[in-house]
Amino acid sequence: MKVAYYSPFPPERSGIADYSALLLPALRRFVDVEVVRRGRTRPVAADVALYHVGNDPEAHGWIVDALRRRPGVVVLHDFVLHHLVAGLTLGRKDGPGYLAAMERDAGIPGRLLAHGVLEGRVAPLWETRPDEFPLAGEVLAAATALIVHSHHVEQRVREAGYQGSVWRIPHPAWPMSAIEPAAIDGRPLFGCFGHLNASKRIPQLVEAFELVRRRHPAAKLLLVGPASPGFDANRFGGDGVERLDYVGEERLWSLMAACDTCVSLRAPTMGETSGSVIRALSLGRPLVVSDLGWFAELPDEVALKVPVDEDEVPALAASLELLAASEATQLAMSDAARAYVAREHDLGRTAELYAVALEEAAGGTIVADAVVAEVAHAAAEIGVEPGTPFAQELTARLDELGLARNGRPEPVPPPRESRLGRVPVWAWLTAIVLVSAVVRFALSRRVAAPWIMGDELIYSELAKSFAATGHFLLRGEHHGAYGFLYPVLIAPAWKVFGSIPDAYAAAKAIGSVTMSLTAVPAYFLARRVLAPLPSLFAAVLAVVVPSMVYTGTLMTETLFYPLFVFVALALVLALERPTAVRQLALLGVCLVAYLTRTQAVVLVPAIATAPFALALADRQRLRAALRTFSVLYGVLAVAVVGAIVVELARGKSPYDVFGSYSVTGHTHYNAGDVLRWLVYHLAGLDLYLGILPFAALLVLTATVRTLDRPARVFVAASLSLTVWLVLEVATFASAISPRIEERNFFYVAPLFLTALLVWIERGLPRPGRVIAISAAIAAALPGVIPYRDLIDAPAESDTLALLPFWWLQEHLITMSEVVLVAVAAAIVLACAFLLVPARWAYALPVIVLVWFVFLTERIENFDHGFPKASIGARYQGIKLPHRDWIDRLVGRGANVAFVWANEDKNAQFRLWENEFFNRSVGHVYDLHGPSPGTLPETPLSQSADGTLLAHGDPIAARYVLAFHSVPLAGRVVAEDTGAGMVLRQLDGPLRIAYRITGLYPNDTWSGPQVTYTRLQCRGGRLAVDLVGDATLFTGRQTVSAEGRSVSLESSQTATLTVPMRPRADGSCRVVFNVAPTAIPAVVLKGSSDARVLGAHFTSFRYTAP
Amino acid sequence: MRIAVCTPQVPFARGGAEIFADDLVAELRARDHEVDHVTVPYKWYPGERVLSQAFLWRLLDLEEADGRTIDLVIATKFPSYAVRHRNKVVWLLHQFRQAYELDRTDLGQFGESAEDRAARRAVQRLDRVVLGEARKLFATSRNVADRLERSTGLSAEVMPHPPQELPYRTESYDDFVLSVGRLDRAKRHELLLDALAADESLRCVIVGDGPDRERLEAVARRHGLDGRARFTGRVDEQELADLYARCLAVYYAPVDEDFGMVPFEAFLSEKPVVTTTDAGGPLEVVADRRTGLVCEPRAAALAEACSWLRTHVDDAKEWGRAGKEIARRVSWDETIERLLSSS
Repeated sequence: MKVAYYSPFPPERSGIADYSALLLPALRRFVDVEVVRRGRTRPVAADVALYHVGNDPEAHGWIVDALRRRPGVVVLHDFVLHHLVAGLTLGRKDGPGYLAAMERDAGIPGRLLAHGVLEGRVAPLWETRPDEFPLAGEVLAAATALIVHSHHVEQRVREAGYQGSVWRIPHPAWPMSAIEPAAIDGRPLFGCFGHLNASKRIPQLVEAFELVRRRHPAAKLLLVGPASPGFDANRFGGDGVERLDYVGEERLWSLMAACDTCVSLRAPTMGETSGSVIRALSLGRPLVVSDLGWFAELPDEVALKVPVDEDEVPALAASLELLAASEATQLAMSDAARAYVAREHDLGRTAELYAVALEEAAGGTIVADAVVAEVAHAAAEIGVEPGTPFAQELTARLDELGLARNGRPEPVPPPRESRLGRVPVWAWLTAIVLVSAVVRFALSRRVAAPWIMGDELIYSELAKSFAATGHFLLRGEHHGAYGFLYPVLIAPAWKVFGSIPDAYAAAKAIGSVTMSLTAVPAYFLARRVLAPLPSLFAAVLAVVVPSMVYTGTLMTETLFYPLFVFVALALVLALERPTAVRQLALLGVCLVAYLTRTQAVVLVPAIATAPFALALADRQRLRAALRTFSVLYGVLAVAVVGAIVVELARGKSPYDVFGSYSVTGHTHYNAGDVLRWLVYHLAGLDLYLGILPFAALLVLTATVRTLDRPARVFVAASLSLTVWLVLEVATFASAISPRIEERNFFYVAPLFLTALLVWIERGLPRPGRVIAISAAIAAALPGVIPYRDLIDAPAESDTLALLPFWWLQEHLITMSEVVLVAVAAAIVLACAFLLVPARWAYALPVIVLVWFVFLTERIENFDHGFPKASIGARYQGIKLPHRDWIDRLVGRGANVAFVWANEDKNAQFRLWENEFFNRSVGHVYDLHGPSPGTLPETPLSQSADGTLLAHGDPIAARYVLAFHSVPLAGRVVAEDTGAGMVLRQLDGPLRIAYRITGLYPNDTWSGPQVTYTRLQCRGGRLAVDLVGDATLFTGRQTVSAEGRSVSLESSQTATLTVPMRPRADGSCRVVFNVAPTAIPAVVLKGSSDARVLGAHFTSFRYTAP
Repeated sequence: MRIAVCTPQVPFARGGAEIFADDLVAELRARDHEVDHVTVPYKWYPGERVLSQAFLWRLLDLEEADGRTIDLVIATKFPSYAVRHRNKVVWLLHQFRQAYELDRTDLGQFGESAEDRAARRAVQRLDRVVLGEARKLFATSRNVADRLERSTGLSAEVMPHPPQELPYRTESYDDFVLSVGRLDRAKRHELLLDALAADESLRCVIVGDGPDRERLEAVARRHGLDGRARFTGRVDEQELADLYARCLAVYYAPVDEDFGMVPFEAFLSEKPVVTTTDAGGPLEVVADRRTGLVCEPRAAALAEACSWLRTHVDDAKEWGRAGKEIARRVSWDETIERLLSSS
């Protein structure tokens, strides 16, 4: 059975909010409760609705609005609702509504009086005479049953003509823990707690206290609580009287515990109970109360009762005096108070009474009708007519057992769930995952080639290797220590598809599905703190984050994202109920995350500190957390020590547990830099999330102690994970990678998005300073980002939130204006956070959703976005139409060596893309030093005859792929002329075909002499194409070799062909002499080029004999 | 005195409650009272049927019969105690447990629908009314009395009922454990079968019949207990007394049982009782290592307890004799005197 629960909740400062926060967890042990979001008046699909109604229109107006739309069980905390009704009518410019309410309550005279109020002739009745006009009629009319706390209210509702069930349920008492009394001077110490106003009889109390103080000069009176509007509490600050404004719950208990006597007076009464009285009784404090309403119903042994009449002050003074003078009376009352609370105000008992009332309200009429129908049917069958004596006896007997309708209301059918609402959650989740996966896969197809290098190459190579050999090899070698789970995940793509472009697409499809599966743990994580529908929204948001574009890459992000959210879910479950199984499950999920991404090592401190964070939020001793989570700490200690010992025993550094990032352990970090980058990263996270979720988690954090326990657990887990992860990433960035490494922390996004929904579902609590500071921080943080430094190429892959600003900067604004735009947008969002009314609350996550979609659109279509970057990488590497052009020519099983010769700054893409897309390309050899990155390569040396040696041995490859400029021997099979790549077939070991000296590096200019040496040469001819230069030479030049020469006119081309003859060492050599030469610095005005220049040797063409 | 003893009757079912009612009627008659046994067929499902069945009892007029006044009504269990009478004494065997401690357990009846929840509350409300109007409340055990007080706030005096008359005797301590009772899940015979599976040296005889018999026999087959676990079905008094006389010990460990006559019957045969820490009422007479063994409700623990008794027959004899002393103290004379003095 499900109950829709309408109530204010902390951090709203109201007794009823505290009441519900206390009751709700206990009530949930009996019935399924859905707390209705503050401001929602549309009926919730539940068997029965429970409305907490008090006299404050701000806190309860929306609840009465909801009650109007669906009748239900009303908890009448106050019988006098005049103030509430005035707020609901006059407060909404609804004068006729107020007139009608007054007429309903007091007939025509009431209506006339209300006219007087409207016209300003009569003072507001809610301030002067509310108890005479309680205006509870409308609420009572809509109540299918009532829950009250006192005989007093029960009697008044019956007097008001209410016919339905009335359940009298005592106010529950708070579970007691050890409370340290506050150190307050003065004995005896009297305390009065709660809002200070005239109805609390403060003037009378102070007057009576002054009488007592004459005999007890050390006596003190504490007046604790905010003054109500219009009540000047400061004028009561006389001798021995101390005023304290609002105090938090902890301080309140501490102050009460310090008091010798608590005083709670009330006149007139609105029919309310007092949470302060219940607290005082729980503490065993003797009480002095007014002999009125609920207060008069307290047993005499726990409270001295003061009549509200002309003798009030002397009677009050006498009561205080009695307690001040008699310790025995105090002790007796104290014992009686504790016993009374245990007997009457037990929380579990209260909750069960609520369950009885709610279950009866939801199904009582149906059950009674069913029994009566069965009895009536049987009676009718044997001829018992209605109205006969036997029929009347049947009715009487049914009534005796509570089985007749007897005042029960017509059952209120629960609101029909919409057709969509009837779709089971698993179907929704499946749909979310499927739609996300399809959309992501479609978008990933726009990514033409891997471009975040060398990560994508590394993981694809590991996957390819695992698929082929079962080992994790890079270019055929064990290299580095990378997480192996992601390569295992995508390996089937290489196993199933022979064509690499097909395998590439399949790997991205796997990534799309995997990353979309984040919706599942995100949903279940949200369910710990939210109802199903908002949890589904959280799941949707989790798979709309901009970083989902990593499904277009071959990166661990696609797997680590769902795993991280699983870790968060496991952590929340372990914090909720720290059984050994849950703690071990948490550790297990962390291990899986670590095996995916070494970064997950940060989960160790994160999950280790979360129990402490929760203990602080729960106001529990930290030592208790240590004991409760002994399994967690035990296993973590063994794992950490074990890992260090194992690494040391292997003769390695303990930092090797960081795998390929072990360098982070040896890096020196500067605290100032770390702090600065931490701020940048928090700002980056704030920006990425669209400000609102960040502000929401700040508010929840600041008010965590006022939240319900599931929310406290969630906040403790979220903070621990976020703080440690962002700190880790910022530290890394401060010394190794100076950028906002959004790619490494976006995993926390679902925590923040859920926090936003939690904040909304808890009724958008906006406690004064907290909300203002949170919004201000969230709005200001984007202003600290050094956009000028960070809007650059690394942002393309790592800081996606900057791309829209980069786009703006390229098209609309200057770089210096970027920060202004970012902060202005943040301020607008912060204002929305501060001001959006409850009924429009879901506009906030929708704004976040729109921001995510916009970001994704920019990433997809902006010049620096993923597809463009990938296309750039693809065409820097391969200009031919087919990315697997080599496999197509020589077959996937062929052995193609790659000779790296360090051409230009983008040359590495020619290596990486060809290597990635062609299975046949295997070993990589360095001719003049390694390629960028740290991937394994084999350096080459040359023998005298030009044979290239790896570790002293010739290389037996069938084909070789190299830059066009590398003079390798072999038959040219194919060329990617655009990229300058040549594929050669070898007829022997890999070797150099010729050497040229006398040309300037990376230039066609010669000096005075050029030597061409052909290795392993059997003779032939060499033709050289020459070009002169008119700016340097005005006359003819001569180029000669082997007895032949050619004259070169200025800026004209010429060809010199010479014979080549084998020499004793097997080579052929031709020496070209150029005359005259010139030095630009000498002959050209303004030139600083001091080279001796001959002619341009644009090509050498060898013809074999 | 004209006395009506009221009990509900589940047609074709017979167990401890029926034996108890028969004994009570017989013992009252033996003391020269004019007694009759009043019963109404009882069916507690589906849905609200439990309430309309209770209502049947409410309609009965037992103030007088055939023009002669009925002096006393003794009701025993739900819903018979809904009967109206100016001099109603309830000797409570148990309430409708599905509405109380069995709710939301495997043995519960009421689901999570609003109707089911309200029906459960209606049973509770009915109990408060009809038990509250009784002149005197007795409970067969402290367990039952405590449950009553927790659920309704009503107090009852504890008054165990004497065991049925059988030709009790002690012949031997053979190597089998005896289990007696209706075969339903609440009686937890499966635990005994699991214990036999855990220790191949154990044997048992299970006496009784009920809706769970087929499943239990299947469990025994699955465990491969052929020959070690014998299901006798319902047996006559001679055979039952004979089994008590020859068994090593008696297993009796229902889930939070009200009381049960079996421990007393075992004691009168000088046999110790093996029960579990969560058995409820039996724990009021089975004291660990004084009148039997109390173990954790786990198969391994039960197997260990039974096995221990096999190797410590002298202890078994001593505890059985100690139990017999307790059982002897519960007599019909005293019981009927308390019942009638309250009326």
